[in-house]
Amino acid sequence: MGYLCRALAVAALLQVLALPALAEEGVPTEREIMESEGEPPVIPHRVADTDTARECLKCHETGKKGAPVTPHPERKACTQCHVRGEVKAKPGKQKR
Amino acid sequence: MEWTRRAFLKASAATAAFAAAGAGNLRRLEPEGAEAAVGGITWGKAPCRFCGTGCGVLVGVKDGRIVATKGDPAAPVNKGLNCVKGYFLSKVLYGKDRLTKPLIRKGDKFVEASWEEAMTLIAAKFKESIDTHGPDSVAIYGSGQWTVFEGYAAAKLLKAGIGTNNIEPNARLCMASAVAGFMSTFGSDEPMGCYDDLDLGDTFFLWGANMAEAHPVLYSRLLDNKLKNPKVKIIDLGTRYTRTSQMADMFVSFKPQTDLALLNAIAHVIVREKLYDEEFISKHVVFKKGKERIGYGLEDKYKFDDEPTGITFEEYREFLKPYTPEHVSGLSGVPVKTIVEMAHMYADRKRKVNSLWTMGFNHHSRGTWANNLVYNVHLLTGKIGRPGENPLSLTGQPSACGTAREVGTFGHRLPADMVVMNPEHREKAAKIWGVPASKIPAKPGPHAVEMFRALDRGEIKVMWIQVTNPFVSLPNLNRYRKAARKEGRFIVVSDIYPTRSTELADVILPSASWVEKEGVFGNTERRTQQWFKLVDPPGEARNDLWQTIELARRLGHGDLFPYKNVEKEMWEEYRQFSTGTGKDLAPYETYFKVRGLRWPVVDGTETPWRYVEGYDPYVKKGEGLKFYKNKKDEGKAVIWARPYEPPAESPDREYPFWLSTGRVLEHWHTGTMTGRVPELKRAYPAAVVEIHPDDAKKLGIRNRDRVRVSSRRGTIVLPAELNGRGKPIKGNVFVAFFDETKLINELCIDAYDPISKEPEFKKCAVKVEKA
Repeated sequence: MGYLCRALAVAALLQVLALPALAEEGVPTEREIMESEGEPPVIPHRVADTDTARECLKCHETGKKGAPVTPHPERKACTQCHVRGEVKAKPGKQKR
Repeated sequence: MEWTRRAFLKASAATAAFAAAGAGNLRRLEPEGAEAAVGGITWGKAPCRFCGTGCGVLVGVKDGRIVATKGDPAAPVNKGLNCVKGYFLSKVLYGKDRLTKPLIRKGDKFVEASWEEAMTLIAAKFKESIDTHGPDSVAIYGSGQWTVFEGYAAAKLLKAGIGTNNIEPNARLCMASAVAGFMSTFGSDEPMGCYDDLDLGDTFFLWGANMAEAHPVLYSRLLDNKLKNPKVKIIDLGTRYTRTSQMADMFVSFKPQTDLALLNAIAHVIVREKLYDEEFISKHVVFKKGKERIGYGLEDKYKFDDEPTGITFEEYREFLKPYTPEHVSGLSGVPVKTIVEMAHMYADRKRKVNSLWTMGFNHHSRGTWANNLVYNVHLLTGKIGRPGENPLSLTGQPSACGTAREVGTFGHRLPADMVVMNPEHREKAAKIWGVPASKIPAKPGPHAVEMFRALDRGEIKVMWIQVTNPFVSLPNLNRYRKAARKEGRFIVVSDIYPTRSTELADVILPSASWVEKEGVFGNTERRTQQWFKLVDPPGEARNDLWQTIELARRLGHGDLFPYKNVEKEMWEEYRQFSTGTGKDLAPYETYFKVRGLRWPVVDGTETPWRYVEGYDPYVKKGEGLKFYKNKKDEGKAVIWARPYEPPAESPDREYPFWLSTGRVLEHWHTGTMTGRVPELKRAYPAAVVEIHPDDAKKLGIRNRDRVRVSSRRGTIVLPAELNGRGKPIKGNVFVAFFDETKLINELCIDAYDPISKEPEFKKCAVKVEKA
């Protein structure tokens, strides 16, 4: 699933680079809707207030221990979109 | 007034279709196709409902309900990104307790009523009060979340119809000092720069702005820039270590209120070491000073008018003399070396420097001064106007700029920077409004705090509150909550959910929100964004615009609103105020086709940078840069000699801590919308008091212990949080204000900046004890 997301994101990025913006009419185009992202998954494990992208990406960049792979490792403010949810999973051991 | 969905929702989300067609075969869906799209979701666009950033959002609608919201990739503000609040916008309107019927108070209970009954009662109360006590006995208190139309209708009804200037927005509690700063330094409200500066600059000073939580998408733009450009430095100045500080290159903590001294110390170093841009100063700057020891507005009916006098650069140099880095270091706690280093960074010709700020400066009993002082540094170094280097005042509500400031829904203002005290301005407004100039009163209405004091004293008897929650958000809340229920007062509250304000009302009106109506918002960077109605409001809920016009009609002022196609005609009327002033807005239809345009819009072209040749059509060829709106100073900006003065209340033996209040990422304002989204509520369920671990240790307080926080005005019990998301510096505590069960503003002092009349939410003295 993670890889699929990533592949889609890459495809979307290529589209952005390849095509001029199609926003003249001010309503979303099909392409824009396809490229846009919706509700970000909440974090189902414990996360420290001090954690940054460095900690998150330890697992979510590569899919270590079955963690979902982020389609956007370049974004560094993870908690701007992903907020704490119900704790269902254990995070990988976090070494600082 | 209503556009059909079919006409404006065109495209569809069709994941399957996308996969089948392949990336190369994408085509725009025709309107008819949209309705039949896979999944049956039709899509429209709108600016986000929450903060002043103005992110573009795609709104997916199915069976008359919003089922999804996504970041709009075509929106230049956010380029497809939203913050968590924006992503969960689809759930904001669908809380279980949504108001769907008008409610009238009968004793301690609210009883469902028809619109006819509710509006008849409201109109009768307005009429009775106006007839018996005069037009100044009624008031409308609105907000920076009003659409342009809603704010414009309320202002026109009061100023041109009823004949009172008793209108204020909650933006007085939020942006008034930014406005006063812009007006006194540049002669015109709102910034010269724009968000492009976040991508183009390389040095960013954040003054009292927790952007990572309060303006997350803009902070991400900064971080993106930093990722691409190793030269980028983010310097976060504040009294609390936040997520913003965590991702910044430098965190500079200072003692509350000493930002005034720090800015003067930075200017001191720049002037002492002759790091200023002499040519820029001689061409574009004049120097002034105003009154000092100006008070705090704690007394009812406090009056203040500044008296600006021109001074020379030499006199300004003299004024700066005491603000040596050594002296200011003692005052602020910032090391001498850091002050000098910051001055050098500001002045470094190889650095493109930006300053960004929000409520740290504005929620300040010297807020106008703080705004003036940061402009001073930019004007001294000439780092203003050019792409990539500008000061930028960030706003907190979706239309604090578009409605409160541009429409001028304040007691003293008229649209497009005009004021009621000026006879020519009244003349112009009256002409556009089609009323005699004598109709608009010259006497400004009371500012927000004074308006609620007048309610308490009994001078204002009837108040209609729209799109805001003042009985949570005012300072010194106990006084004003009691005022609302005093004998002889009549309070109407329009909202979408029951709130701590509706509980004090006599009539509650159920409103339509966001894409349940057509609207226009204006964001921080002067971007005007329009949207269409995409869904019907639930039950009998109705647009606030309809509500106001309905009152007008019943008071005999219906002729002020003769529109058939309401929004279109109202916009074209409103637009006349701005045309030719440098704040020009485009014809209504222009906004259908774009993701907003930054004014002035002349001949269909927007203006990313104001006052700059080549960008701003009002700057003539060869002028380069001109602050043309400041006519009284011949198109020059003002460097102000503004001293450091202490706040209204500082910690003492009895109340030894500073209390600051603010936002968290997950919630917006008083939490009435975000508190109803399960994901957001779960992520940040309740307010805590953040305290420095060393302070906690001294008091025997451990993490999550219940503690009592008290000021001279109120007391509250909260769990303590140590080493949490935010960490105040020693001697400070912080409480967010979103939690309606913990009214922290009961503790806040209702002191205000005498120039802007904006209250001081960021500083008062409290004690902290184990509960």
